[in-house]
Amino acid sequence: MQGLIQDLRFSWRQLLKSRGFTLTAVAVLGLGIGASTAIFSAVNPILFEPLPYPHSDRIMMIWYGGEGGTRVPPAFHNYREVAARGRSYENLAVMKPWTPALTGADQPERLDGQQVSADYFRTLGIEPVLGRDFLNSDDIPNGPKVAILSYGLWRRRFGPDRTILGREIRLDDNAYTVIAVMPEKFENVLSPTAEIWSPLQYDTTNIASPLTREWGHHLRMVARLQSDVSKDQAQSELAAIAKTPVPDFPRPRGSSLEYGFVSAQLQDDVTRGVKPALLAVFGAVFLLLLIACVNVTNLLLERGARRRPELAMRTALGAARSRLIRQLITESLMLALFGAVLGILIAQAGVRALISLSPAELPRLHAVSFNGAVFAFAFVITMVVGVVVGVIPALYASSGEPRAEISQSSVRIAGGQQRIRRTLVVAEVSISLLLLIGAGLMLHSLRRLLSVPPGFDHAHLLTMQVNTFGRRYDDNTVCHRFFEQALDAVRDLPGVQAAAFTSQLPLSGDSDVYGARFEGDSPDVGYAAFRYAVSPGYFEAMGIPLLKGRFIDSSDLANGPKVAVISESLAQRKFPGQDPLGKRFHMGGPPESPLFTIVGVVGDVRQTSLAIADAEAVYVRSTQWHWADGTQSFVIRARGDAAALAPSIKRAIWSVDKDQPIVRVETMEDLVLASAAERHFVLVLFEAFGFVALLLAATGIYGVLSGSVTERIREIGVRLALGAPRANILAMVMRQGMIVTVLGVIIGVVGAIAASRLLVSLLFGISPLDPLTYIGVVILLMLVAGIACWVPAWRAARLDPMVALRYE
Amino acid sequence: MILETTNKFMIQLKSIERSYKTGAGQTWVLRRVNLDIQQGEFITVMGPSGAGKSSLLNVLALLDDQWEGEYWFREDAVHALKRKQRSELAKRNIGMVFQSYHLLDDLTVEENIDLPLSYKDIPRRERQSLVADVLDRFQIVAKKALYPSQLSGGQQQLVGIARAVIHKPSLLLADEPTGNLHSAQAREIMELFRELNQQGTTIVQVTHSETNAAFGRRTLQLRDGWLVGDTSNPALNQAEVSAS
Repeated sequence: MQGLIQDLRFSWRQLLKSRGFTLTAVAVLGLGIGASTAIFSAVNPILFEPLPYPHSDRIMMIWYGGEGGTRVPPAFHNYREVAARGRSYENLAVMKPWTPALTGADQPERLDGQQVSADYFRTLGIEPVLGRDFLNSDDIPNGPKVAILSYGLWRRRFGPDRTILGREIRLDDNAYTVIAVMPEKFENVLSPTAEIWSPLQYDTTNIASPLTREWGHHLRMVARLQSDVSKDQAQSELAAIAKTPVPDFPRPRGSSLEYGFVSAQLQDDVTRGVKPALLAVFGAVFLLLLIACVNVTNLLLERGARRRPELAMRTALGAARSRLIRQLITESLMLALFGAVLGILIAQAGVRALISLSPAELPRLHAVSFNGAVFAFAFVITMVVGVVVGVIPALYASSGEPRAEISQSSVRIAGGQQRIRRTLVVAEVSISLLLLIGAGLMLHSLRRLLSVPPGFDHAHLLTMQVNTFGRRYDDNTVCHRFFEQALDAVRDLPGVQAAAFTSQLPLSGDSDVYGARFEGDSPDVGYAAFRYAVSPGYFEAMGIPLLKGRFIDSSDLANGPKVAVISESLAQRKFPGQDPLGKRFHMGGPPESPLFTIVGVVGDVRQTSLAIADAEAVYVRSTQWHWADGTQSFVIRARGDAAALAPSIKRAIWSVDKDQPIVRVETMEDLVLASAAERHFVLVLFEAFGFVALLLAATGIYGVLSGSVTERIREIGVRLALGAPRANILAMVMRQGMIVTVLGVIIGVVGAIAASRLLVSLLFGISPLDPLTYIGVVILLMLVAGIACWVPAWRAARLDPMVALRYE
Repeated sequence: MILETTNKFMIQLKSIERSYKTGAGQTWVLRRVNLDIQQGEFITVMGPSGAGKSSLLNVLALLDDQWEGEYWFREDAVHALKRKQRSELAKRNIGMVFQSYHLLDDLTVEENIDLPLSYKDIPRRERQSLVADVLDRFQIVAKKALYPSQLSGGQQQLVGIARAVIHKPSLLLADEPTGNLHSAQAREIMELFRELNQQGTTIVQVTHSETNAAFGRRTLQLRDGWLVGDTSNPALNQAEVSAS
């Protein structure tokens, strides 16, 4: 103990004595530890921490299996069949999004919520903090209108008032009785923004009628495994259910469970979309930490070489080698601890930056925090880093013959550590190249993605979603009239060049797909296509080009012949080499409803993402659709700054009905950028890590060369004295640095080729072996390395031979 | 006058001064040194430590270019030459031998000797031939593949001299060439210098050893930067020193 205190005291003095070294090492370690801790704090709740439910490993998601193992939302009757025939599950539930408008004393507010089957909360294993859970008797068609509130909504809208239970609130102009409040810490990973829940109230009796919402594939199914049933057993049971239809659960065409069910643990399901990105980022930050360690190891090696006479003296005075190693590791641990203090500060700022940068689809974002696990992680990596960076320098510095060390100057004996240092720099260069290639590939990829034409002109375009609520809007005519009057009011505004509305907006997250069945086709054949119920002028306002025929216009009256415009992709798929104009099809509505006649073909539009070419689409006039869509997205083309028009447009819409909520006000340019948010998020992190890695690698090259020049001063002096031109000395030192760089580049390129397949899912439009990226990154790294080499090389070339020859 | 000078002397120093700026002000290491050296001379520079011997040698070697005064090397006014021109002049005419040999540890004997030639525009084949000649002449052919650490001090200095004369310099400068050698080795080296001098090489050596000085034909005495004695110029005026 006494020895340890002595070591600590001496280490403190040593570090204080070499302030420049200490500050540099602490800054580099702080950066490495801070970045790793920040990323860990973001990744931990998403990838590693169990979900905040009892026995969360037993909670499964069950999907209707599509071709090739794809996950298709299940229908209500699929759920019923599994619930009735399955024995593997303790609880089973289905849910769908619900966005009711809450009205009352305050302004109307559009809430995010879910309609769930009665066992939803029991499946998750969470009970309300106030009141009672849903009962099976709540979840029947036309059952009681009851609602459960989130803790946040209860506090925000109703104060912490316990009398809320049993009170009526108005949702979409209907009276709902509040029966419960969920706990404050309840985290609903299946719909993180949901604040209100009501029973699904689907009909269990209409299983024989295929054209009902109960056969619509729009639900999500969650289940809790029995404690004595394994995932594999449950999966086998699901497969058996799918393969053996029973008369009690007849399956219509299109829902025959041909590909069975797909089930996965809830955690895996929730994180599936972001896992590759997060693992890539976690890998990148690990590489950054490695570079930081290598850098500090290099600094410690150089310092160790200078201290060899001191250590030799200690040995001569009786210190065992293990004692010297302990002393040196104590110093490196102390450095790491200081680095950790700085790292925690960096990490806290980093976490804030991460949250602000992170894409909306990142799950469990609010669970990102500085908790015990994060501190434990920071502590562990600090200890590991402390030992890792200290061990090589300690072994090296404590080796050697004491008599020789004492009598010799340090510059002569540094050859061995130079070799280790050069090897470490090779490692640094190769790792930074790896990171830079990752960043380069993603940058290239994002550029490609953002240059994908979305199929419309997104400049100067403002969008906003207008919802209707209230009983009177149940009347289709009233609903249509409201939207048309609102549109007229918007069009009258100065600064508005064109305006229209659509039932779903490209790149906004909307996804409304219907099956189109063309006249003359077999009833089995259908074409899945996005359905847009639009106002006249939609194509003009969006800038979607007309390829054939005509647009939908105001002459297409509600009670006139039903017309439709289709996308080029659908036209080519269904009518290759034929003229699609005049062809007729059925979509939505009852089978006897009139057919739509194709009057035009327009260019393809990217609906879900710039990366996905799912462009088969059908456009109909909103008033000709089977029902009035209660939610429409307005698109307004501005003459100037689109965003500046938002307040006046809202006022214009509210001039028609001031109670209708307007949400999702965004320019189309922002929507386009947001659609690439995940890639952008990973890119920003890779760029940051790549930049820091490049900087650290350059510092490493500079440090090693600089040390080498100091050690070779005498040699350089001799060479100059023997007539070596200064350019020759410059080239000699440059060559030394560039050999290290080239070696690092070769290893880095090989590593990048091997590792690039891990990035495939994050790339778009380029190969993970894209030669341009590789060449560009190699040139960048060589340039930076060249600068790092040039400085010590220039210093060497400027040496005064007389001084150099005297130097020892 | 200039023509007369250049015809007569190999080197002529006129009022050479060299000083360093230190914390305490300016420290003079050479004061108004006037010196004429003729082709074929073997000169010994002596004096106590700090007298300016090595500084004078560095000026002569053109390693130092921070001095003031006039330096004529044959017909070349060194003081008017640019750094690069001085370097070229040195490369053509001057060889240096160091007390601590200054051989490069990572190069073999052969490569060390070849080093000065590698900085000249000489074809490789010719260089190899020149190196072979020198190895032969210095009787170190058997050691050509060895590294400096595998040689004795005397052998290392032999290599150092071989390296200094490989390009046939007309002036050989030696700074304490036997300082690290025992007497038998020192004698061999001095015999070699005499032989080189007899073959026409002008030699200027710095030494503390009277024995080594005896190999030369002219001895200069330096003290506190002043040239205070010259066996070829007994009339060197001590008063000049005193007056200053």
